[in-house]
Amino acid sequence: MIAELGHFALILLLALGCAQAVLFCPVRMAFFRPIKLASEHGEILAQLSPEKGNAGFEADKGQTARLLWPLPVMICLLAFMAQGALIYSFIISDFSLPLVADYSHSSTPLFYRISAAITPENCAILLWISLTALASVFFWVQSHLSQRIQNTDTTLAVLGLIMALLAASAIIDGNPFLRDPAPPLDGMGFDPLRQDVLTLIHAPLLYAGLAALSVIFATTFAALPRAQLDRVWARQMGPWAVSAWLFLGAAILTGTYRSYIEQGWGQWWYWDVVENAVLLPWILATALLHCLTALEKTEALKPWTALLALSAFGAGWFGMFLVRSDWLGPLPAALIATGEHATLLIGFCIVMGGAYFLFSRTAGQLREAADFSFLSRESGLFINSVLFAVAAAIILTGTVYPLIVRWIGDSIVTVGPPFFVQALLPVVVPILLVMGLAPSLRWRQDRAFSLAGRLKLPLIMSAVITLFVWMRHINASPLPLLGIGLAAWIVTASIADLWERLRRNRDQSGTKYRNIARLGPHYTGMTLAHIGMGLLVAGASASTLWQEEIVLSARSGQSIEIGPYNLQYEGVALLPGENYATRKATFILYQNAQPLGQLSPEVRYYPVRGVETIEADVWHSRDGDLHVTVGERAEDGGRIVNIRFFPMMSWVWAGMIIILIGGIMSVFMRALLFFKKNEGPTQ
Amino acid sequence: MRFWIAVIPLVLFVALAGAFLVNLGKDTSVVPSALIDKPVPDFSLPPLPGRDKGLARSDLANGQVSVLNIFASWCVPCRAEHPLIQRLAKESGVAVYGLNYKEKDPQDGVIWLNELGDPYTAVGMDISGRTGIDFGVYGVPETFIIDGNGRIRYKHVGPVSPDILQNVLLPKIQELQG
Repeated sequence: MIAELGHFALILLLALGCAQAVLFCPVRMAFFRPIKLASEHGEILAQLSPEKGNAGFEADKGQTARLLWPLPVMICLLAFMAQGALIYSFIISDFSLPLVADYSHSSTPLFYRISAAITPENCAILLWISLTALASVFFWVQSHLSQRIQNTDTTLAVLGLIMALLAASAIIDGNPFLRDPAPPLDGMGFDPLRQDVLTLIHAPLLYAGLAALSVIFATTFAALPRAQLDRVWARQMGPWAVSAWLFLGAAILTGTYRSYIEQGWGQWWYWDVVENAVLLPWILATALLHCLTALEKTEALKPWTALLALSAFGAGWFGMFLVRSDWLGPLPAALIATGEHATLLIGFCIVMGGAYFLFSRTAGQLREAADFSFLSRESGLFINSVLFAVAAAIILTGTVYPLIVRWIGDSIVTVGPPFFVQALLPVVVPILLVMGLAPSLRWRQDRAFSLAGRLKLPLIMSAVITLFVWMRHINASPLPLLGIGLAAWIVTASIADLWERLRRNRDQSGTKYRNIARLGPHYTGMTLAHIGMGLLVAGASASTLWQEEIVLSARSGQSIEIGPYNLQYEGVALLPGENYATRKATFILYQNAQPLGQLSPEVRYYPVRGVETIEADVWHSRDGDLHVTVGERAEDGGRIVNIRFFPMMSWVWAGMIIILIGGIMSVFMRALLFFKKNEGPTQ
Repeated sequence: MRFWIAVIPLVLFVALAGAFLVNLGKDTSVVPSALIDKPVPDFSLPPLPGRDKGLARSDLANGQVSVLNIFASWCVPCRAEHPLIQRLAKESGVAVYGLNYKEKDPQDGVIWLNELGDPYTAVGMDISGRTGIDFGVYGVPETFIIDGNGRIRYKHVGPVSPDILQNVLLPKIQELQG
């Protein structure tokens, strides 16, 4: 019964989404003139458009949104009802729903039943719709609070269309609420690889990112026809762009850490479709953030910014389609064909085709308000965002290449990490170079001589650091060395610029606190993110450069030395888990004969799916990560033990977290500024 | 000039989206087997515990059309399709061979067949999954139709449904029998 209610909510949502797309669209006057005269609502509509003579394209001042605001709110409620109905069906293990039968089992713990209702791709489309609906309500609130939001109606119309298309995909491609006339007695179980808290956090972060991107897309789409890509547009997009970037970044962090623990060999990035599907929109969102800064400051780079805003959402949608459709091969662990998701693809084509068509019509007429010279902050931001876009194009190519080859040549190829590393290297190196340089550049125009003066110190320091590392590791391969050099360059250049600015601010008087506050949300966020990126690159380079690995067959009581540590193997115990059996090994960790703690890697066996998973245990410290996994019993009676020491791996995690803190700081400071401004004229 | 630059994204998008739309509806789960119309790989597998006949390439190339079904006791879809494999064996009249894939314990397969019924002419045990790799198995269950010369003529990935049995597998077998 509850499932039917959810089904009904989903269908109603589709209808209301279409209604929102039509009713909020300002062009409707031209399309629906005869209908309007006949309809009962004729009077209301007439009130909405006082200048009736204007052929349908009157200014969008958000009148419809003021009148019909319950519509987006209703859609949001319906979406959460549908999502709630699915979660409820999972909780009560209603196996007459094929999705529940596919992804859950009577032995699955309650927590993971909820997780199963949200995380698998087929279920997650409801989460995607819900968060998009929530974002459109937030957008309405934003436009209500601030008088400076443009094109509210058109934006909501586009969002309505997006939600209707997603709902259509949910209904047609794999309706979660259709019952199986002959339900199985029990389900197939939750995918053991997903049985983790991090996976449950990952899904809402990812879809919140996509939802924020859809608002960015809709805002841009709405601004295109009359080429209103100005400062106001950039300012209203700002919070959405930062939060999309932040959510997607957090999704990448959780996904990365999960695969670091889950995969036996301690790698944390695999370039597989699921990862690329999040990375692509994140890269484009990063590029967009940079361009928005330039646009807000000097009204430069308008068409390019608009293109990035449209493409970031497109990349997100396309990635979700690739992950869902089984075209790139079903995941061995899933064992379930998920179908083609044709409706999702058609929806993508409608939305993005319309957007690019509109772009091709209007982008040529966009006037750049400002000109800038080659050596200026604008050109630095532009070059970097172009490089980001090229990186995204390379990743997209690598991801769909196997499909294209299969269609053309009927042969099977796989594209792995070597391709991505080789192809991305020539792009990433300049990105990192410009990343250190651009913050010190002046707007409009800069002089090479004074720039060199400002950057002299960071340049020397990073060269010294690289040389120092090279002297100590004379046989090191060039790639990690290059990484360390670039990381040092970014961090020193960022700090030097920060120092310079704080000094300049102090000269204009003010306490230290105000000095920092005066840096503004953009600059604070950027500096933190850049320093975090530097740490990440340094950590990734160092951990590949100095990583140590020991594989051995260990016996109880054996002591193993690795890095600065000493590990004592205690043995393996067979223990029952919630819905699995686990072989849990125990290691005691010593440093300088002092016991530090205990590590217990596991091998879990999930009987329902018949799958074994590896759960590594990791000791994080300032020096690096100790990554321990256990395997099978060896022929000599010992236990295969795999121990890796990744020096400076903590820098990678710290770097990622600092990047995200940069985003959070920027959002926080923006919010403070916003409310300060609304309080009244204080200055 | 500016107009042409603005059109580039549209052109790239149409090319990419077009490629996907054109290929929509082609059942890609059938194509990936590079083995279609190729001879069955050479293999020889031991029997289930307590039985005397295993499975080898020669069983599948004996002049008669045959079916090879890959199953495992730990695989829930296999359990779902099992009654249909029994129907397939009865209605088609051809020999259906089983490949018991990656069992934890060799006894599991025997227990499974005792419980659900055994439609197979012979069953081979692929404990290591090595033969499965040669057959390009990437998800159990899978069902292969092999002609009298030992060539793989059709491959179905995933559980057999009544629809697939009636409209795909049985007609294909009849067609091959001529």
